[in-house]
Amino acid sequence: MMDCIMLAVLAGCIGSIILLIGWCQKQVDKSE
Amino acid sequence: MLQIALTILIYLILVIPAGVYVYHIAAGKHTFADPVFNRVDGAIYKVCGVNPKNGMNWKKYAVSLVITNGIMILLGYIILRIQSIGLFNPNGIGAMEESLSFNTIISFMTNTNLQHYSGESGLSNLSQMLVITFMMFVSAASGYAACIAFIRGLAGRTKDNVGNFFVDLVRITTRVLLPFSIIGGLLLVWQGVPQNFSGNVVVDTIEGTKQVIAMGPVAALEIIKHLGTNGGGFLGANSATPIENPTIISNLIELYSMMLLPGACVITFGKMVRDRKRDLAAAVVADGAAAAIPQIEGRESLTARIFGREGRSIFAAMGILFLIGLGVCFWAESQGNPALAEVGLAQSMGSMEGKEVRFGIAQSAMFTTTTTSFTTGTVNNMHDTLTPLGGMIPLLHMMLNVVFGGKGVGLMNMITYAILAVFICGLMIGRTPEYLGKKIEGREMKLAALCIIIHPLLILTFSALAVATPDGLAGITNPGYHGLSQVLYEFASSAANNGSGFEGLADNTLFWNITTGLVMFFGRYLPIVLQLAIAGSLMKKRFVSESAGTLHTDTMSFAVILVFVVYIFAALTFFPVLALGPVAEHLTLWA
Repeated sequence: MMDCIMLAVLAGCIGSIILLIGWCQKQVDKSE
Repeated sequence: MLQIALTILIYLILVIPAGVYVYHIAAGKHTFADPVFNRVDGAIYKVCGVNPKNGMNWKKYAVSLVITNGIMILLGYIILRIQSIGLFNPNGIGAMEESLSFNTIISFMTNTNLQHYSGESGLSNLSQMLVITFMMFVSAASGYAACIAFIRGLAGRTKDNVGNFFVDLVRITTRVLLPFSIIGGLLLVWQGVPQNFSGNVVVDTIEGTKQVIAMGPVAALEIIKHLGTNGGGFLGANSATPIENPTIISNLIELYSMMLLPGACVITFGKMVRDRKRDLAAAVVADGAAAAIPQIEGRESLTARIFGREGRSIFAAMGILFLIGLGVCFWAESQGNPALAEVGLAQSMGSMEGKEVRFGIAQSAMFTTTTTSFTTGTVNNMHDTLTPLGGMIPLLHMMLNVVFGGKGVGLMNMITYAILAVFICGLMIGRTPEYLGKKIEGREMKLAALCIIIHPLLILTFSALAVATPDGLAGITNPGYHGLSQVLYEFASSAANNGSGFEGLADNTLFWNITTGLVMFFGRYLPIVLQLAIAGSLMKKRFVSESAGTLHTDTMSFAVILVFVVYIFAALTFFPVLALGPVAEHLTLWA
């Protein structure tokens, strides 16, 4: 059970960085 | 003092050829070792299905980095959880606990190497090799790759190609980390560092007691630990133990190993920016004038030739910050500890509590300042027993996170500060700021400001959480001013991906494992993504010609401005907590 929680937190962390990349892409596109 | 000066002088001599070599690797230029490494790299590309000619834009590069690192994190977590199997486990070590596995795997993938366990009792040899040593290579190569992509973006030789992440990852591993590690590892074996697959050895001491001496592939881990600015030791006491760091020569090998590549990255930056300026000049001037360009560069000073003009000002700013910190740390430790003097211990050698006699004050202060400036995190003395001001320097340098910094990311952080510096100077003289021939506008400043604010936000928010909750307070073993310093140090070390600690903190608990794990993760990947986005934004912009009002960023005066900007920002964000921690402790101790 604890393993599932830890892996879910890890996956959430990685997912949040992917979302940040998407947000940054929008910022970069706006600057063109 | 003389040995510190000599140590730095030798470093300056060593970093130049290393910088030239790394520049050739980063720029894809021919090197003497190409006939061998081209075949090795080609085989790896073929097996992995990588086309080295395919470039990536900043977004694809960042996604490749994060996904690759993410997959390794998940696989590494599983290995730590099943390490109790008999494979390469001569000491019969059991599976690592869940929250500790979470902390450890993030720690090593983010180049932090914060260890809430003791290597000799917490990891099997399989984990030491397959997780720890492997990740020391990959995390270092990932940081370097991000830095090179960032430089390519700033140098802006194309509109939308910062390189190929997988190619950069392979090239830095096969051409820099592996060959340097083999040479350095053999030198450490020569100095007496063990390299075997034996179980621990139990010996009878001359006092008639039993002592367990740890064995294993120590030298292989030890060299990449420093070369990749990783810092996690094979043993709990790290490079303070004579097994990991037996002699003054091994100490110097480890010291130079961790200083070499971050310095080389700055030289790479300077040379790559100079290449771009040459291209631009050759493109815009008439044929006759173009022929004069090499003659103009022939009059460059020696330092400008070695570092590149832009690299020189960045290296100078980092050097000034480093030398100020080193001076304060050495002076503070040389003064001794009045509390120890009161109980009758002579302080003529300085404050030797927690230090190795074979290294003394000078090499301990040098190692302490270096390991936290270059964000390695290896220690040859116990930082928790440094004097208050001596301990404030490593803490401050991790808070700054720009004093050379880890392999690649320190340079990226310093360039982010350079963008902030030109923005502030632009405000003062009423001009649109420019850096490396590109206008710095609202979007870049928004990303740069976010990038700079993340670091103190992580440190201060989580420190506040720790001192406001029972679970956080439970870890503090030294209540009072030093207790706050312990908490600050733990989170500063995590956010800066350093990994050293004030080890008096009882940190192997669910609270500390999870919180420091999150700080390490976001302290690593948030800035890298934002910095790659800044590079992606700048490389789309047109170059602007220099005019009389352009702020020159390749001068010593800009280096001094940069130092002041870094210190002012640090003072505004961290001075209150430093006053409550190490400064208050110092005033109490010497009252």
